[in-house]
Amino acid sequence: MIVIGPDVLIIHHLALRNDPRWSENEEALRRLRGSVKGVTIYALLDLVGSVSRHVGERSGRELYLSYLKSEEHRILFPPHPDSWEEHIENMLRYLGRGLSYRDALEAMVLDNNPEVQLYLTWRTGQADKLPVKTRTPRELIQQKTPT
Amino acid sequence: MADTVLLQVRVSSALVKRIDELCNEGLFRNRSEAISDAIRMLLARYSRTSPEARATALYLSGRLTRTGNPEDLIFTPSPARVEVDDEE
Repeated sequence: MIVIGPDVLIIHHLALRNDPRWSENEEALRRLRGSVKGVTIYALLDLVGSVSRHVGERSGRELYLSYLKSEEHRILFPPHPDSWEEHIENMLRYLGRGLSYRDALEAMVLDNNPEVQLYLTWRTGQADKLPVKTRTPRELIQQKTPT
Repeated sequence: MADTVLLQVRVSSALVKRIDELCNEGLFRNRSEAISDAIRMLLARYSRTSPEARATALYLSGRLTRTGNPEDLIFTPSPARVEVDDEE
């Protein structure tokens, strides 16, 4: 399963047509239509925050519910920690690789969902620190067959 | 006595054993009082939550009806510049 990063979703949902990545971003999402994609709960909340900030709270909430109900998306959650001690111990493993806290949360969810094959994001700088293969939308559409 | 309804429910024997222990400790007078208290807590928990939180609970339990594609929801942001992380 391909997991879509929050940056790809933000460019799409906020229709950032002036962004130089817009057309490739749209083409990649178009190619993935009809297949089940993953979105981590942290990416979804990041997206909801952006939509709430730039459009309004109601739109952010509407988008959240629509992702939960989507037939084409699976929202990936982390294991529920029993305690803050456990959470911090988990996080330190990822932060130790040089990830930001936000990326560490995302990496933890990717790690805990073995069906994840690919992470789609424009932010390739962290690729070697993430537990799965990373591709940009540009790289995805250059592939003959999407993974 | 307040208006009450006889509610027949199946509960595991292990849970009933724990409830009986709480009754024996004097926390509740009987099973009915303990279970009524649990129901009150359950209702209070869900009455405080938003539709989004309730939908999340349904999603996690696999009982949320799936329909539609959120990618069809496109918004028009206010004129302020939207920042998206650049390629690194």
